[in-house]
This record gives sequence, structure tokens and C-alpha cells, in this order.
Amino acid sequence: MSVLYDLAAGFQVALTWQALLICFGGVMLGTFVGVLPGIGALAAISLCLPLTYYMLPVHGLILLAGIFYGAQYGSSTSSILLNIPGTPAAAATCIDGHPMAKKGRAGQALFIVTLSSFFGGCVAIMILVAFAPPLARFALTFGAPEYFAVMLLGLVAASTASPGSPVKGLAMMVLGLIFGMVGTDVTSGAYRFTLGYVELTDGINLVAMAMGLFGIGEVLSNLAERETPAPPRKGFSLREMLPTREEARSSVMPAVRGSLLGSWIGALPGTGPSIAAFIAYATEKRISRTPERFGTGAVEGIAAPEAANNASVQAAFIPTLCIGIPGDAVMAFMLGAMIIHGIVPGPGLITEQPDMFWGLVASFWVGNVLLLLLTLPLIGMWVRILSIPRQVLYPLIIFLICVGVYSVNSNVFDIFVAVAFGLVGFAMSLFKYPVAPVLLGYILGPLVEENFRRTLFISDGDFSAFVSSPVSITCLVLSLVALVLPPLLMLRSRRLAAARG
Amino acid sequence: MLNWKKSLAVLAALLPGTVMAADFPNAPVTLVVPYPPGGNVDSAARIIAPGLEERLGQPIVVENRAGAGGMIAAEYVKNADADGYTLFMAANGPLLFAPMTMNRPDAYDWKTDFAPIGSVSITPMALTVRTDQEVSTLEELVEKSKSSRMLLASPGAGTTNHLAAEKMKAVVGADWRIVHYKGNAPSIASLIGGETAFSFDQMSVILPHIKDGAVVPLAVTSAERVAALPDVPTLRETGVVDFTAITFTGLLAPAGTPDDAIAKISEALNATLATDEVKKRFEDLGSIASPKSPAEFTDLLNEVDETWRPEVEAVNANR
Repeated sequence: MSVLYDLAAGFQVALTWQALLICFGGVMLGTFVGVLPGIGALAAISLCLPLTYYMLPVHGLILLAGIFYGAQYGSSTSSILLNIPGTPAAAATCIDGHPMAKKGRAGQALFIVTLSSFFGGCVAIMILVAFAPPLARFALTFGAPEYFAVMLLGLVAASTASPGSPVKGLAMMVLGLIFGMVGTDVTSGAYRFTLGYVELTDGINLVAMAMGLFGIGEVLSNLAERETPAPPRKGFSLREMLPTREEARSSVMPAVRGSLLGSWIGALPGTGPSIAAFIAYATEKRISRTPERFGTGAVEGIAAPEAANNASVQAAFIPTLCIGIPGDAVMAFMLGAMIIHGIVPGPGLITEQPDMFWGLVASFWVGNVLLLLLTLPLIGMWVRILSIPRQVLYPLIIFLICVGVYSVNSNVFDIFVAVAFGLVGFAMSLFKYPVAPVLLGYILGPLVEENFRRTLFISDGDFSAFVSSPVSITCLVLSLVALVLPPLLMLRSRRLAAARG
Repeated sequence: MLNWKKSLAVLAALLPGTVMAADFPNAPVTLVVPYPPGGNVDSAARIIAPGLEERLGQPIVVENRAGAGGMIAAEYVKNADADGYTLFMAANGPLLFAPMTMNRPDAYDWKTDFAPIGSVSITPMALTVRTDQEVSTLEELVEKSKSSRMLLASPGAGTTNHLAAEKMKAVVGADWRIVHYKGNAPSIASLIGGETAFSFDQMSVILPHIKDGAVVPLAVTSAERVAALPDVPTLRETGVVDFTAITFTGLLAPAGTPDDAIAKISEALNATLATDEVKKRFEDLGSIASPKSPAEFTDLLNEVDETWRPEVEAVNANR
């Protein structure tokens, strides 16, 4: 019960009018940068950091955190409406979200992703409240073999997640793996495939690649189409955008599974919302009785990844706050912000700074409720984006992408990378190759490779290290099943068909 | 285009020349940070920015130009107008060794392309070992590491942490396996989680885990003991090895910047670093505010360069 007491004290911090106002400002700004393709949470957070100097530390963190999870709410909006993810984490949502919008159900899709995001956030916050310290400790026991097994499972499970030909999907994933190899080898520090460009020694910039492939690629292929897609003529009132009972029912379980998966993946250092969303999407497609519906506007395909990415950004605070180990770049920045405010995150944070910890956690809840109240009425406004004439909309999108990509590193080179990937994405859409697997291979490939080599380095080349723990054995067996089962099932159904007829 | 820019710069430098230097600064001053927001170097820049702003009477802009081991930021400052308005917030790797490790030795040379203004902070490292290894002194660690295969966590090939480990490994003649991770966070996670047994880490990131009892500090790498860990000896004091290993941050201007501009910034910087508030902030970071004159800073740069250049050369995978 002491947890409830602490949480109540936290709400006392989070519900003061200053904290409420700051939280509102943070989530509002977050939603805004999330909706704009290319400009992500990190850029907005680093712009707002100097502002926090003039605030109480806890208020500063409430602001920065609000931007971070607010961006997750916003990022699916452009995925659904324009087939361009607002941030890489919403790339998985394009696959089914945009087909829904094409069918004239954009409002319903936005409604479902908002509720799923809210649900995912709430689940992760509850897990954070109840189990943060033990979960953080458990996440620490994950060594190289476990990371390898989990990431391999993600790669295998997700490799066929894209709609259309599985062979094309697999080919694109391999292409992503190759792009993922560009940069500095972690084990030796040697450069690979940098083509003499110092800018490539850190690898291809994720935002530049995602915005090129999805954003510029999408704009180009839309321009290549002769006819303009007709703007939705339907009304934009809230009632007209409510999902049907059927849609609501079939998004509940995916949202639950997505939230749990997202919470777990978010708590693992070194992962992130993009991985969570893709794995959640792949899981839904795998366990669905009607996987062929995925890619044509299945609500499961938007509910799961959106619940997962929002859960994962909330859960990402677990290792950062409880052990002082940030899971990704945004968390590293949050950690830096805390240090600038004189708060050193670490195992002692919860006991030494209870007001700050619980105040921040309580503000997550406040922020998620605010986001829900903020986003639902705005859906009608967002959907109207579809009726903007494309000669106005597309230059604007290209402009925003360039600004967003530049804002990550203040580097013009990244804009060239985005344009190059835009051309690649355009070519891919001409020949009906799916884009998402490239991004997936790019994100997961380096993690698989790094941990594979680290495992062998630590074990002195002994391959039995890969099956040394229950977690890694389970994941490896599941990967094997995921690889072998579909062709076997297909063979069997063919034989049965042959026997019958 | 470059010529056009250069000629414009020359023109700008020639025309109001002396006048400009006299009322320096009359425009915002930019500190270019070679890393993304959030790290040690970025934090140091943001800590000194308000104090510099107050003393120089102009806004200070912190600009992150991360990438290529810091070369992108360094080259950006090198090519900027030498007027004191664009400064490099440097650290060991980006300033001294990146051209070598990046295999572009001609890109810049800190001795000829930059004018040192002053150091900002010094960050010592601590050598710690996980508590369950039951080791409490450096001698015991060396002993144990000779009889059993021990793994050392490093936040990346070529980092100061890695170099210190290599140097020590060579001196004591032990067969340590150095496991590289992508940055401090996963490296410390592996140490706390049990995958690796010991490591060199910057004081700021390891101190909470020392306090928590997860790891035991065996030595600090600075020349003097660290206030936060008064009972922990320096590497030299242990008698096992004889070197210091610190990471520094410091400000440099492009070579050719007028002396009085440098003097003004140096004065403002040292006054800022002397305030209790700034000192306290660096202490919280696990660092030490380190005011130095341009000449003293140059000496420090020379010392770090001479000590570590051979080590960097030895581990460089891109020769």
C-alpha cells in the first residue's frame, strides 16, 4: 500500500497548476512535432532544454517527458493520413493505417490509435509503478546471448510481416541488413562501407533513412499517379468517426498484447519504440486467423503497434530512472537534463528523490489523459489535411522532412541521404516492393550482429553460449518454429488438397 | 563557393578589423559541441553558457554538430570565421585523435588550426570491479585476472576508457578480454548485470553504482584523489601502474582569432568556472571545473596528446 501512498504524493506534485500547465504544454508540443513528418521528439526536447533551467527540476522533466510521449500520439496521424510516419516509431502503423484512410475510415483509424496509445501508456505506467525496480534488475540480467535471441526472434517474426510477396519482403529485409552494416564496427572500431564519407562513420541516420523511404518516396509515387485521390466527402463530426462495434472489439486484444510487449521491450536498454511497434505488428499478423487481411486496413494492425510504441516510451523510463541506464538517445538526453538539474539518476533515485520520481510518474498519467482529451477532438481537424490540394501539401511535406532531418545533427549530408532514400523508396513502390522491411532490417540487423559477435567473443567461440539460458533457448526455438512452420503447413495443405482431388 | 566565402571572410576581417575586435562581442557567440545533446561534453557547454552570457553580454548558443568522432564539429569550427564568434567545445577524441582514427590525418591539426582558450572541466575515471568478484585492491584484481579469465567492459574502441584499459593491461601483463559496447550505458549495464567483471568509467556515470554497493572502486585515474571518493587511491598511488587518464573539455577558437577576443573569452570563462554554483554543477557531474589560461590549456593538450597518441595508434583499426 505504500506504493499508493507514494503515488498520491506524486499526484500532489503533478496536479499543481504549474505542473498541469507545463505538462499540457509538453504534450501539446509533442503531439505537434509528432504529426510533422521528420521532426521528432529529440529535436523538440533539445530545443526546450534551456527553458527548463528556469523551472523546478521536476517541472522541467515533466515538460521534456511530455514532449517525448506526446510525440508518440502524434506520429501515427501522418502515418494513417499520408502514409508517412511522423517518427520512425510509427512506420509500422502505415501498413494498415493508410489503407484504412483510403477506404474513407481515417477518422476511425485515428480514433483507434488514440485509444490504443492511451491504453498502452496506462499499462506501462502501471507496470512502472508496481514493478519498476525488480523489472529494471531483471532487464540487467539480459546479456549478449539473450539480446541476440530476442532480436533474432523479432527479425524472423517480422520478416514476413509486410503485405504482398513474402520473397520480396525478405529481399527488402536483407537490403535493410546491408544498410545497417554501414558505419563503425562496435567490436574493432573499423569502418565498414563508409565509401570515404566521414559522415557515414556513425552509420546511416535512422531519421534520414525513414523519412526518405517513407516520406519522400511516398510523395514521389503519389505525384507519379495520374489521378488525385478524392478527398473524403464525409462529415468530420466526432459521432461519424466512432469505430464500429466490430472494429472496437477486434482492437482490444491486440492493444493488450501490444501494451505488454511494448512495456517489456521498452524496459530493455538498447531497444526503442520502433522495434516495439514492429514486433507487436508482426505478432498480431502471426497469430491472426486471417493474416491476409493485414496490409489492407486491419484494425489489429494499427491497434497493436500504437499500443506498443506508446507503452515502450513509458517503460523506457524504467531503466533510466531506476538504474540510471538510458535505453536510447532520447533517454540519454533526459538523463543529461536531470544531471544538469543536479539530479543524478541511479539506484538510489527513488528513495533519495521520491517527490521527483513519483511526481514524474504521476505526470505521465496526467499527460496521457490530457493527450486523450486533446487528440480526440482534433481528429476531425487532422482528417481535413486529406482535402488540402497536393500542390500545396507535398512541397510542404518535403520542406518539413528536410528541416526535420537536418535538425537531428545539424548536418546537410543527412538531407542528401534522405533524398537518396526517397529515390530508392520511389523505385521500390514502382516495382511493388514493401518499404517497412528495409527499416526493420536496418534497425534490428546491427543489434543481432553485435550481440552474436559479443556472445562468441565472451564465450571464446563456444556456440553453446547461445543456449545457456532459458530466455535465449525459448526465443531461439520460437525463431526456428516461425521459420519452419509456415512452409510445412503450406506443404501439408497442398498434400491434403492433392489427396482430395 | 569556398573561395567566395573565404574572400568575403577576408573582406570582413580587413574592413572594420580593429574596430570589431575592440567591441567584441557584439553578436551571439556559438559553442559548437561535437556530440549529440545529453552527454558529458554537451552538459559542460550548457553549464558554462549562462555564466559566459552574463559576462560577455551576448547570447551564447550551444550548437550540437555530432558525428564522425567529432570531426564534423571540428572542421566546422576550423572553417568558420576566425572572429571569436564560433568556438569549439572540444574533448580528447574530437580534438586530438579523430583525424588519425578517422584516417584523415590532413583534416586538421589542433596545433596549427585552433587557438586554445581554456579548459572547462576535467573528468577522472574510476576503475571498479563488481562486488561479487570479492576483490578489494588493485593488486588483488591483477592477481585474480592472471589466474582466471576476466572480462573488462569498454564503452567503445578508441575511447579513453578503452585506452586506459589497454595501457594497464600491457603494464601488468594480464590476459584481459576487453568487451566493447555502444557507449557508457550498455557498458555499465553489462558490468552491473554480470556479463563483465570490471571496467574504467567516468566518475559521473559510475558513482551512483558505487554508492549502491554494486561495484567496488579500486582506483581513480586522476593525478589527485577525488572529493567524492576520498578513501580511494589514485592509479599512481597504488604503485601498480604509473599514468593518469582523464577526459577534458575545453574551448578553442579557429587559428587566427584576434588575441583580445581570446583574452576576453578566457577571462569570462575563468570567472564563470570560479563561481560556486558552476563548481557545484560540475561536481554533480563527477567532474572538476578547471579554469586555465590559454597557455596552461595548451600544456594540458600537449601532455594528453603525448601520453595517448601511441596508444591510439596501437588500437586504431582503420590504418
